[in-house]
Amino acid sequence: MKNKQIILLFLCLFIFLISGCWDSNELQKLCIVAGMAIDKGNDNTKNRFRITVQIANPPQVAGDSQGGKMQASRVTNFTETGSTISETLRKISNKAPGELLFPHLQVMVIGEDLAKEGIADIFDVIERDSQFRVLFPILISKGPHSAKDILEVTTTLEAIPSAKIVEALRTSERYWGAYKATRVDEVIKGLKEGSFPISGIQMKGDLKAGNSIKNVEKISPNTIIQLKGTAIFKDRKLKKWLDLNTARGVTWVMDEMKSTVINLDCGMKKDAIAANVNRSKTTTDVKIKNNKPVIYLTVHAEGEILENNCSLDLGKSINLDQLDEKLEEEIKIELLQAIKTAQKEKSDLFRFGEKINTTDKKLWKKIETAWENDIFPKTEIHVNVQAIIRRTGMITKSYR
Amino acid sequence: MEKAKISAIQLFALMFIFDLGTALIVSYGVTAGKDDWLSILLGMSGGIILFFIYYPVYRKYPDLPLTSYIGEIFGKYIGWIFGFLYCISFLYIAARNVRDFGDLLSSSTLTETPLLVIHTSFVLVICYVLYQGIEVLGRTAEIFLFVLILLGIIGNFFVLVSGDITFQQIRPPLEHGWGPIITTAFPTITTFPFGEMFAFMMLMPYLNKTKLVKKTWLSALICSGLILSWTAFLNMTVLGLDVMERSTFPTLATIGKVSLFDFIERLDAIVVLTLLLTVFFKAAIFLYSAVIGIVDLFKLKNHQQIILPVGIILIFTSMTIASSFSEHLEEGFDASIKFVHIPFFIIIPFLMLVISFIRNYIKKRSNAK
Amino acid sequence: MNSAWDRLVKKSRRPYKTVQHVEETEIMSNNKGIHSSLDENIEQIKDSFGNSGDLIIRSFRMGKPFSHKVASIYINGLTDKEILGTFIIERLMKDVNLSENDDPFSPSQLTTYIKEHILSITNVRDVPDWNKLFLSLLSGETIVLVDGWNHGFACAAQGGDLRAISEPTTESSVRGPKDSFTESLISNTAMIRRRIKSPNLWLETMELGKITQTGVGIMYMKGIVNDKLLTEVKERLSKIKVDEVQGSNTIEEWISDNIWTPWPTIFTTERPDVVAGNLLEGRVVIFVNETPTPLILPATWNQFFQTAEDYYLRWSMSSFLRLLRIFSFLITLLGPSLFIAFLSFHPELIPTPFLINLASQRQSVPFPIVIEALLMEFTFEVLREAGIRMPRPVGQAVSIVGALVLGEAAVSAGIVSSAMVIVVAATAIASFTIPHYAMTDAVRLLRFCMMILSSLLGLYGIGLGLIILVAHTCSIRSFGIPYLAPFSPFILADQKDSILRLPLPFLSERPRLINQLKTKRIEDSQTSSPENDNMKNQDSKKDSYEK
Repeated sequence: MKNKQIILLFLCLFIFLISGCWDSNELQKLCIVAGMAIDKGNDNTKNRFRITVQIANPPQVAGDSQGGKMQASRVTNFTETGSTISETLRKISNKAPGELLFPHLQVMVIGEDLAKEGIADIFDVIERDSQFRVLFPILISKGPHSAKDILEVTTTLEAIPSAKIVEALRTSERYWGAYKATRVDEVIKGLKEGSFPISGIQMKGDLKAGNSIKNVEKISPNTIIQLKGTAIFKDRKLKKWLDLNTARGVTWVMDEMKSTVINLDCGMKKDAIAANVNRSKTTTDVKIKNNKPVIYLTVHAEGEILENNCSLDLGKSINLDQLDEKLEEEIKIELLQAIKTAQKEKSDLFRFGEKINTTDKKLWKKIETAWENDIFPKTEIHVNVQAIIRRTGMITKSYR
Repeated sequence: MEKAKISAIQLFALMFIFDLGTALIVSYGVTAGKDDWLSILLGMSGGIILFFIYYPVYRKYPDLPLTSYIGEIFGKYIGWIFGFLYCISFLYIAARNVRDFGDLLSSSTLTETPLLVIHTSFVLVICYVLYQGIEVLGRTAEIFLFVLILLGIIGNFFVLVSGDITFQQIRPPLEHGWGPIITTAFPTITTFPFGEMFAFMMLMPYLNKTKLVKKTWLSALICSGLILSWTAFLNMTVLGLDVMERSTFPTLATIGKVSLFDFIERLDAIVVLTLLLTVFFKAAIFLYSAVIGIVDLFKLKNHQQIILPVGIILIFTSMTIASSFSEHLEEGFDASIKFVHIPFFIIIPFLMLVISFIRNYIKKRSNAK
Repeated sequence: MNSAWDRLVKKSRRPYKTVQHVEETEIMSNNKGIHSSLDENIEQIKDSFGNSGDLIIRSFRMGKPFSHKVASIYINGLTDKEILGTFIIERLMKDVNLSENDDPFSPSQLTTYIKEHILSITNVRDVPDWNKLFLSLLSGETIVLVDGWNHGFACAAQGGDLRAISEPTTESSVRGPKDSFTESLISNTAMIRRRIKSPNLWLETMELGKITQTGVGIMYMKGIVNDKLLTEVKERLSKIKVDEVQGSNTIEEWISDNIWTPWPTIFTTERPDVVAGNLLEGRVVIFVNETPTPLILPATWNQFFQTAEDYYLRWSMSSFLRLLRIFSFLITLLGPSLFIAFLSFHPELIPTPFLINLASQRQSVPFPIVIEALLMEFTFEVLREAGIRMPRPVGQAVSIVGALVLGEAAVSAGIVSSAMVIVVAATAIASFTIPHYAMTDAVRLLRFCMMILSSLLGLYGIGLGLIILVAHTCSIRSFGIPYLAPFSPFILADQKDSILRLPLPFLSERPRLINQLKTKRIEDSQTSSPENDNMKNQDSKKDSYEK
């Protein structure tokens, strides 16, 4: 009885041993892909895409003393063209020293040209291949430079340029509120449903100077990359760029505002007071009037005074109440701007459609097809903002 | 029949894990749209109804496995054939489970390892545990029940904390009315996973306290039903209907969305481990039911001598059952439900109930005379 | 309940193989009676012992009018010469004045007289035949033979040099008692007697080993111990038919239920308080002479993660420590294999900055991760073994060489990555928190199996390995008790003192499976917080004084 058991076990072990290890990889031989840029290729069939992958060079990134005798770049980019994403990525293997490892992809930048033609063909492979995760953000390169160029700018303070872009995006999302990180899963959802926003990224300065380690040796680099604009997509194509306060308005409407700074006027002095909005909640209500949806947006915002460059005594609550109203006004303008642009572009960025569906699913079934192009632009949208400034910092009155 | 006994807690653990096996991971019930969690609850109540079909038959033969008393109900020869068909269907479902698992593993983590290796290693481990007998299987289930609960708590906690949940995704409730919910619940969800518990009719004689069957069965059914429903609910709120419909393993996609502090992410291992454990017990119970059925029908000495041959049959069945994963899934939601689950877990048990009642009635009449 | 126990025991019983043992030696088979002639007896003894140098035969004459020839025989080094001199030889030679009584003594009368009046020693027995005589002689007793009488006396004057009671070396404790067992069976059992002053503490002794005749004592609490367990233990002990019993491990390997397992199925300890605690829980303890580690059985897996210290610390702390030990057990078992699995199979599961860090460390490592891990673990095991075997002053040198040369130099030469060194070191340190050496050893071996499995199939391999391990652990029993009790089969009442230790007033019952006669160990009237009311009264009195 005991022997049989042992034979069984040995059989088990034997099977394991002949099985070998197919999936085993050596870590140092993998190419960790940190960033990816997809541009339009030079023709529409054979070379539809031009893909650049950014591969991290671990010893340089980790600052390990052993490998660092030769000052090498921290990342290496490889570019290849092809008609499908996966084919192109496989072609890159001809250039890269090892198997590409995609799960650690930080960011994907899509060229403006491609975005204008449509981004529908990019995301199937990302959803299908288990190697990709769907949590990295997507950005659109704005302006004359291609997505490839964006990934070629060396950066300081963060070793991998892709990581730097992601960090900037996160910080901006958190403290400025205008440009939000749109994750792949959100983009895919948007592609399925209609309109959606994606933040843009821009290169400033000389391309050649940027693509060199010398760029980071300077205190003030020649070439930098920065977030700029929010791209509105409709029908899987880039329709329009929004900028600054309009872009922030989109964030307000979509209830994604975490914190931002808004300048307020003080009497005659324009933009004299800076208020920090650190808590905000936007609720969307849909009411059906005469078989037409009417949308009510209510913003509850809380904030504090960061800076006061006029003689207003903030110790008095009457003054604060006035500021509250001004803040409300500012926020409302931003929201209305965003909504107006969206309506003009006939794109329901804000997914009001879903809200209508939950309120009245029968009505929604009727208007669903005509919603974006015909009904949404004409829909009444009311904005109501309630802002309260809770604190004034460590002092009340300014020294002025 | 082995001379072994398992306790009510062990039976509960086996049943609970059995119900979660594959159902926790694979996509099913998505035909009910945003309300699949509701249709799982309905399916669970269907499972309860099924139990009350099985239970009276079991009460008549509390010390015998299914294959022994099926002959008494249907007559010797027809009963034997039915018993044999049951063994084959158990084996078939075991093979399906192994395939489910193998395909998940090779499409998610072990992409280059051949399916045969995954199946072989998996089935051999099942064989090893079954070789030790039902007692060891029960006790192992008891230990892994805690492990599973722990994994479940960790997984749920992270999903809840990650902030990926949008309740908007499940609204509006009853978008298309009760129709799709009910057609999904009956018969699909009622039979898979809840109707499959019929396999326990083979294991019931091992329970040390016959009285506890009802309590154990129902509590395992309800606990697992609630957990499945909750998981479906969570998946829907995180993924949305669209992704749910398209993804083959929604729970894996859900846990893939967790990202906390840039450090706690990529928790796929939790889901894969959960699947490994639950499918392990599910396939083991089916295999064991098939094996002791064969032992009983062919009057063999013990189950240990045929466990390895049957295991090897299982490996090859699981390999040849379908040429692609799509075919496998199609078969699972169509042919397998129609030709295996419904006849074997609903129609025949119901017939057994009716016939045994009629026999009882005739007996009483003749006794009265 | 009893039938269930029967079933348990029957299932675990395995047929014992008997080994061929050498022919019984001549001394032992010489079962002839003792001669009445002293000279012949002395010759016989000398012959049997091959004139051994440590066999001392002191012959003399006693009594004044009748000079009886008497000899005292003992083995040098096993007796206390002081006692021998004062209470046997001196008494026999000097103080006897047989002339007071005019009747001439016949040898048999004389012996009765000697026994009853002269030998002022604590324990004197008759030895009627050679077998008994040799056995008592070899166990350190002094034999007194009188000419003309075919019996002998065995006088208990054992002594000689024994190790004194010292502090426990492997199971030290901060607050608990500091004594540990020694090699002497009698002084060991005495330590238990001192702790449990109950006549129900029973000790049965026997000799095992055809040649070694090693003394073995079975100790248990009558009335608490399960009688079936006791008979089972005795039956298994009686089946040991070997020439030599060298220490308790011989017995352990002969009587344990399943030897094809990595787990220890019998518990050993060197602490008397642990033994006392286990006896009171209803376990049986086997003492073996010349071994400072008695066996405690039946053992459960859980027991190997508990220490005596757990009961001397506050319950919260000991619960925490127990959790910590289980956790470090898992680290020891799975640490390196998880590292291999993540690095070579699932790099997608490692956070990005960490992955880049690891990749850069491994840039110059020439080996695959598996080989690197096995190499490091192997080196560690070698160092560990070397550290134990080396003479103590050299042992330090080994650890310096190991730590500095192998660790530091290998990393800076780029032969191994520093992450691997960290993993191996963490594993090693975690393994030292497991309180019992037998369990540590088991995990050391299992760790290598896990590493191989994970190198073949990654996390999936580890999962399969764990299933096999748990199933195997569930399948073994220790004297009929499931090894994983109280986790599987799950016993709710026993959870109070398993992974957690609740405050002692809550532990009102003995472990369920081990003990089935008397489960209650706290009287019902006892509340969970004794004397609470009195204390309150004191407080209120104090208050009234202050007023």
